[in-house]
Amino acid sequence: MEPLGQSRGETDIYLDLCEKAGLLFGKDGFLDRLNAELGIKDPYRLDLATKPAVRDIFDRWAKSQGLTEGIRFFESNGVWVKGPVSAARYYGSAQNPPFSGIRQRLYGESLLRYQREMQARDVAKVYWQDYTPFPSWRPPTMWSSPAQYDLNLISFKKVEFKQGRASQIPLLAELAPQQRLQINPRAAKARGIQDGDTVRVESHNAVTGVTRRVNVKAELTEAIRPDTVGMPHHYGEVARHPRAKGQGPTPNTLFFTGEGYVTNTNDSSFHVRVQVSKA
Amino acid sequence: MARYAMVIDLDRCVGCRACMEACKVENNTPEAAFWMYVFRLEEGEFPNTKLSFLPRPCMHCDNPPCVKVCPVGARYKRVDGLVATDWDRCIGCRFCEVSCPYGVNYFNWKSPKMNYYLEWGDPTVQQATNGAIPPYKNPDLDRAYGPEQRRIAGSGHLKGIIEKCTFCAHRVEVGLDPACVVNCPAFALIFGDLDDPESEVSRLIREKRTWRLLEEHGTEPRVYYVGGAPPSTEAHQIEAVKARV
Repeated sequence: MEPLGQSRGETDIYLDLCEKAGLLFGKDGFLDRLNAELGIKDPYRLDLATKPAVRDIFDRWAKSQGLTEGIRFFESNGVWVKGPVSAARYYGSAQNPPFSGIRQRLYGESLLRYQREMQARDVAKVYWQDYTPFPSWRPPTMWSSPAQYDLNLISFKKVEFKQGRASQIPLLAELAPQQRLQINPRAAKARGIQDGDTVRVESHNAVTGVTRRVNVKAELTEAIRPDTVGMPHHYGEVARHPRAKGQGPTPNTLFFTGEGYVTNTNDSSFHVRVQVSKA
Repeated sequence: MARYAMVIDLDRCVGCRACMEACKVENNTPEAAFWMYVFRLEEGEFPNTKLSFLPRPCMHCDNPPCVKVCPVGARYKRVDGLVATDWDRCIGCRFCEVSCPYGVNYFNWKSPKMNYYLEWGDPTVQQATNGAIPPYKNPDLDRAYGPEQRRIAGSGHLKGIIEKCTFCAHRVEVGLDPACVVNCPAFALIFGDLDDPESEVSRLIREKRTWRLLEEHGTEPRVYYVGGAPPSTEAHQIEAVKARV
């Protein structure tokens, strides 16, 4: 099928890119490599001095496979996968040896060495606190935020969407058209918040003192703890898609990626404490 | 002759609403029209909260009140059990909408083409979809089905008539299951022939405790629920989809 809108086929883009970079033609150029990789044989080999049409490349490949009518065979008959495909072919690396022999390190002495080196150089604790040889628990950074930030913020995924790109699909968005902050009715009542009210959520970075805030509609549900509020992903106008306008914020705005929250060892809790009030 | 029924296993249903979307794409229903609807129900107070899910298609009752009240015979019960709407004959009087205790019927107040998710007349939309309007339009919905050869699939989506779930009559005609059944990721919806003792619906009804919605009305629905429990009076709907059912 033709590419939709202004999108282009990837092979078209590769050919253009290579041509502009001077890598398309001649020996060892993109066309030369294509001949080798796709197994295109004489007399169908791509001419190294001419930029081919994409269909032509696949037509030559098909003819090299022995199909005299070239790519027209697949255009008329479709593409069939000869199956069933054995599990070993798909998952062989997961079976023997498991994960191709990759191992997950549980004890890392190098982390201890880095920690000691940082301590010896008087580096602030927030940078080396997570370089522990065994995974070790420590109080989450968010517990150091002031008491007025009295709710934990968690984020989660919804079943209707995948990432941020799905909320601009109108049929899916109809099932979940807008962002909501999930809050327990007791917690909401204590703050004078009713179902559907717009509330302000403010988060606090216990390391830098920076605060961030968003406005979002509240949804009261007994399915969340009174000391916690939840906000799903998939919304937020990061992609600035016109159909995703007005759906509400992303919880990413409230989270932080600096020290204490998302660090080099990738094992800390990035959750934040927030305060919620009627906007 | 087959005798079709649906069994919904509430122990398996996770409330993902894939069936609602599958039905929508298969039957090209316009905005706010959901022939299959899944209730997300919540009851209790934290920490004793209970969430449950209830898919509710048309019940295709054996004693259908909607068939009795149709003044022109557009709504009729097929021998195989499906309660069908002949959209060539429907005059839009809405008696069936009033009579159905499950509320599965709705009336098209405007031409559904007005509410089809995108501005299909917009040149930028047409360019993006290569002119197909809508791109997921199902050509099988226009044909006549069943031994009576009446147009009952897709309900025409015309202004001024009534629509409801058809158990995908156009799919059942060729031996396929309805779209909601086929697309359920948890295999919670099962469709089949009650006259076949080896079919999964027969087996489930025979082996498990079943219940049906609003049995006290005497409608004899063909949709059986296994697992879970009938929704209690304490349960209330959460995350309601803005739908006309």
